[in-house]
Amino acid sequence: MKIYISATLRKFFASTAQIEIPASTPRKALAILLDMYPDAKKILYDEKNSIRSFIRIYINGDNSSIDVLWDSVLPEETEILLLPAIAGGAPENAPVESLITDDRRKAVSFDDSEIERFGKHLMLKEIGVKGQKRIRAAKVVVAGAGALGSPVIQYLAAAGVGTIKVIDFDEVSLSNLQSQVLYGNRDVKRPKVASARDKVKNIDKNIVFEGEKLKLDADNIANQIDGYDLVIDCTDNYKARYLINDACALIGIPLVFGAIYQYEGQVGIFNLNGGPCYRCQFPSPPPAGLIPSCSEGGSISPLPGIIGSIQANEALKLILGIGEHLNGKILTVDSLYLQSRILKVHRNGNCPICGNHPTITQVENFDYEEFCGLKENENAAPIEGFTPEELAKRIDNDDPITIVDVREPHERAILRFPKAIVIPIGQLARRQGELDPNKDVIFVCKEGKRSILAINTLREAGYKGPLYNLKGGIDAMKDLIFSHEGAWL
Amino acid sequence: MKIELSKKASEQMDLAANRAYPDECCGILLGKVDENAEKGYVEVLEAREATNQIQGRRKKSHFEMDPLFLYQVEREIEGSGLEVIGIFHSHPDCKAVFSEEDIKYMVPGLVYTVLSVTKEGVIETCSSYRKNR
Ligand SMILES: [Zn+2]
Ligand SMILES: [Zn+2]
Repeated sequence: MKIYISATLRKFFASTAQIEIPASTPRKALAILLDMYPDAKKILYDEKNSIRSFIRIYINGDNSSIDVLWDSVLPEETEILLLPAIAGGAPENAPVESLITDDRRKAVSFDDSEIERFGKHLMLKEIGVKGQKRIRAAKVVVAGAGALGSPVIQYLAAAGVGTIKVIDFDEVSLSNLQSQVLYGNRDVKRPKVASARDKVKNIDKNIVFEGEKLKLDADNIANQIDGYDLVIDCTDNYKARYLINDACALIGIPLVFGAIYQYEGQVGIFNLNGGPCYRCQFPSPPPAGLIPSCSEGGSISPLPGIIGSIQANEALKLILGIGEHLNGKILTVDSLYLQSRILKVHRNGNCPICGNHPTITQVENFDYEEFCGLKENENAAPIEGFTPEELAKRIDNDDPITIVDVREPHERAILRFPKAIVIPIGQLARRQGELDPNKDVIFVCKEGKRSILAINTLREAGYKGPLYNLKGGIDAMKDLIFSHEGAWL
Repeated sequence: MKIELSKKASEQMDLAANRAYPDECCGILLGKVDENAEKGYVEVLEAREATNQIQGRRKKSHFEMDPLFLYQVEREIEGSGLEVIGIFHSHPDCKAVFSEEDIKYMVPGLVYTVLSVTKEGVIETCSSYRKNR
């Protein structure tokens, strides 16, 4: 084989430009070459013995085939090129520039009452009248009007953000009031966007409020966020998080991300000035069965207030172009032990969305259920389930069944499932002896997803008895349980 | 290592940076190396603009050159007395300092030049020589 060495690498090969090496495969050829020029080893390979990020190996002018051709026997006339990859990016910690152009700022004017209203901002030298006008000119999307959305929407409104769009498909429920301080008793059963509108208009009637009662998906998200300066992710699940990240990365809108779980919260900024996206750090979500969404997981009441307030603060700093910000960083706040730390997120050249050769070029109707591991694996034995009605009937008939509750203790405290034995998913394999393989075993959780994971876990552990899932989980059974109360509760 | 940019090379780089603005430009530096001179001496005589292969919006803050373009230039200048001695690129509306990503791709023994360019033109040029990793 012939090996051509780029001039840029030649000093490690004693200035050799071209060399003929009798070897049958590229791997052998390279090994012989490195035996001849041991100095070159450190230039081709890193400490972990993988090819360095700046080295590109071409076989007959093609660089895509090397991965599969390493051990292929190739003809003698094969030519291998050793070339450097030549690439780079702008520094990520570039000074913050306002998201709002001077022209848009100049188009804003304030009356006397507004000067009075925003007086506390006007006093700050970093904000002043110019900055306040930027805030007024800004158009911000808040995705999700729940726990995080509550402080975000209220602080954006109080700060005077000119256009606030709120997207949420849900209605207010009683259980929302523990953390969603945008709402009160009177809002229960109202659409969240309607209550949010009232609140915002009550704070400042000059704000343009756009409420969208809809569930974001791949088909509607681009239309919903295109043309806005900033998106603030206040949703509570991975599906929405990846959808929003992908859309923002593709359209080119900066994203202020926030998330809470129990006592811990995270804030970060993505897709800003060529900075990394959420997928650069987390290409795929953790196994969904193990991490319940916030609607399943619960969190301490003030936590979303802390995290949402930081999100609103970051949003205002981006609009103003002041201070240091969380671009390409994730701030983690632990409210239980009062600790916080900042994790740096590096742009990933192989990121499918924002990498150098993106494979996803439009927001796709992506199967997030499958992506998040929520979907039943089609190759695995199908999981059989009972509807709430079927289960209730079997309980009524006193059928010999075992019900296993795999929920967390705090979830069981809210709603006990009678006649169920409790085994956490993590202990299932070890405690499978407690189950009678001659009886039908029915797994229950809040939404019927973790119970599927439980069944798969047991099957993997070799359990042979019949296993069933309660479809839709206890949520789906709730009304039924209460209507049949006398029968078996 | 002393690096000397010729007037011609500087002009060629400025032209490439201005033309590509607000995107990043990139290219190859050609010249001569005198290793016998005290502490080494590199003379940059020519700058050849390459195509920035990044697509879309990210081109404003990233560059990537086709390695085969480098290969062609190397073959073309064989025997001309010129050598490939480095790489240049621009940072539109951003300082002329090397980013972490720039450094990740640097090949030891080459000259790297970065230009800070705004809509008013090139405002700063910075060259460095990468000794080893
Ligand atoms: Zn750079
Ligand atoms: Zn990314």
